[in-house]
Amino acid sequence: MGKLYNEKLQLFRDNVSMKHTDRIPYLSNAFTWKVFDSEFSLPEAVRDSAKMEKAVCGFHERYHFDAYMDIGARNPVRVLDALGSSYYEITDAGLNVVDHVLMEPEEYTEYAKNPDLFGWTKLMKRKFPDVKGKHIEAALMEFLGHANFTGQIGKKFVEEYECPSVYGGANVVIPPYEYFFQTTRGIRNMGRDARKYKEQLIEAINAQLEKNVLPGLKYALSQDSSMYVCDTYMAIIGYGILSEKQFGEIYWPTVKTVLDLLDKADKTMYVFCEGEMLRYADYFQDIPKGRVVLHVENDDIFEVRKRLPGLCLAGGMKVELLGNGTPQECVDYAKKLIDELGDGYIFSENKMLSFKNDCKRENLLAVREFVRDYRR
Amino acid sequence: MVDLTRLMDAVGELEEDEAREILRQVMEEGGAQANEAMEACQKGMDIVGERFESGEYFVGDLIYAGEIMQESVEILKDAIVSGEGGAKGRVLICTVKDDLHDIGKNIVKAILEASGFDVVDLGIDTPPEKIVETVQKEQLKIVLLSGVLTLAVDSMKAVVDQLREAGLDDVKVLIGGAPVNEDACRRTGADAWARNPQDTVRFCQAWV
Repeated sequence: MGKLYNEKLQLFRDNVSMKHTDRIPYLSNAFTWKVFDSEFSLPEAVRDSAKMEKAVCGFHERYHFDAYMDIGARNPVRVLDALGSSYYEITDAGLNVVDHVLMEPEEYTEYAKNPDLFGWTKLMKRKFPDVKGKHIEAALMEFLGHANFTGQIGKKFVEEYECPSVYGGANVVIPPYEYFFQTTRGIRNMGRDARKYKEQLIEAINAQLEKNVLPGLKYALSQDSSMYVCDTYMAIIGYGILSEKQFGEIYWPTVKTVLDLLDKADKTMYVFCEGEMLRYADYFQDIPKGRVVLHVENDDIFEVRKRLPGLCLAGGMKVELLGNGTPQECVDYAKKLIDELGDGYIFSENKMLSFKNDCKRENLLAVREFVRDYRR
Repeated sequence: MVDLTRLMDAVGELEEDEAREILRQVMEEGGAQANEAMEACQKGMDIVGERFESGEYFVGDLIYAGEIMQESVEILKDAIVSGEGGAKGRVLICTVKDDLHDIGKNIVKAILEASGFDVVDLGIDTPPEKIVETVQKEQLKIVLLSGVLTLAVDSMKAVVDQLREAGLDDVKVLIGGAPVNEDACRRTGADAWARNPQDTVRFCQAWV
């Protein structure tokens, strides 16, 4: 890691610790928009690593952000293609993740008894019903290809571009509720489950925490993560359908366990709060300063700052402005964000830049230039 | 004879099994109480709406309530007799082009139906041309457009533009979903935007 890499890393870490810095770091939250900003179409780039690499590297060489949430490796489309999965729906307009229901609520108790056994013997069969040995072999080859691409481009960003990653791929924590919400029960069923099968759901959530999440977290915390902005990463999404009472009963206890462990190990976490988190802001008030970065999406970030003055915030730059405003309007708003949010702020787009009209190149260039030079 | 207050409370309390049991009893008894049972379900949905507005219920509960309501209609449909005047009004609803999300749309649809509206549902990923064609064919005056992705706002604008180009200036358009706000409403040229299903129903009631 070169001098520039370490300077960027320190810049992020000082903001995580709420220290004043001579400029605010810019973390790019661009995902598939990087492809829309290139010469390639999305369907071709997600299945061709050479084109994806060209799109992602071209993106960096155009904007020179301080760090990236994604460097083109997030969606291993070809691996799932090989398994015959319909997990992704990819068109010229964008990439959607298709909601799947892989288990019934009556199965929560069985899941709780042995999550691994249930996963391998039931969930895998239901997710990939037509898989034969040849498909697994093909998927393994694709997986190796994807891992090779991820390693190569990751190395390029570290060594050539001197850009730190926000977190290591092995250090991702998936809250137990999210596991069921995103992968096994489907979004529409979780509302019913929270009412009708609450006890069984909590039983399964606790089993998932004990048998999968905590062992993974403990391993992650034991590893050297000094090359990343944060030691761990967690995205919270499914809380958006729960009432405050349900959040307190079903969701928060497991997140609190994770955060307590993190605190005990003196490590940090980048938390991407999809949707609106302000309703639950009180729960985050006890998190020690410097422990967590909260990336807020749809909330008014200025209001979040008032409610949680001791936490580093990220996000804020409105995608709707980047996609529809003028360069000057975007720069004015960027200035407001930096001026009003003060120390402990990582500049970033509020939402993932995913679709063609999420952003205009001239707006992003203007904002990038402004953020790089402001405060200096 | 079933206890309609019990049915109303069961729907309001999201007691799916109890509501289903009462509705089946209505049908087993010949369906004479079907219309009153439907009204009780609608009153139950009003309770759901009140609890949503007070914060006791949230989105997951609305999804659940919508599914209870859909099942209720399914159980009672063969015995429901359309009264004089029929529905309160007819509306078109859909998720716009390039957006595949339908949970929000389905919640709004269920609550509109519970409020007495006849809803024409075009599903997800709906091209503007299909919306315009349906509006003309069915002579609809209210169009509700839903979307979750940021790109949905552009698709909503395309619908409004095509409706106006087709001379359908008297058709009211309301937009809703995660990327929708006052600014999106202005950009698309829609007549209104709604933050939640209750607001949508209020606009529709005002427009019929």
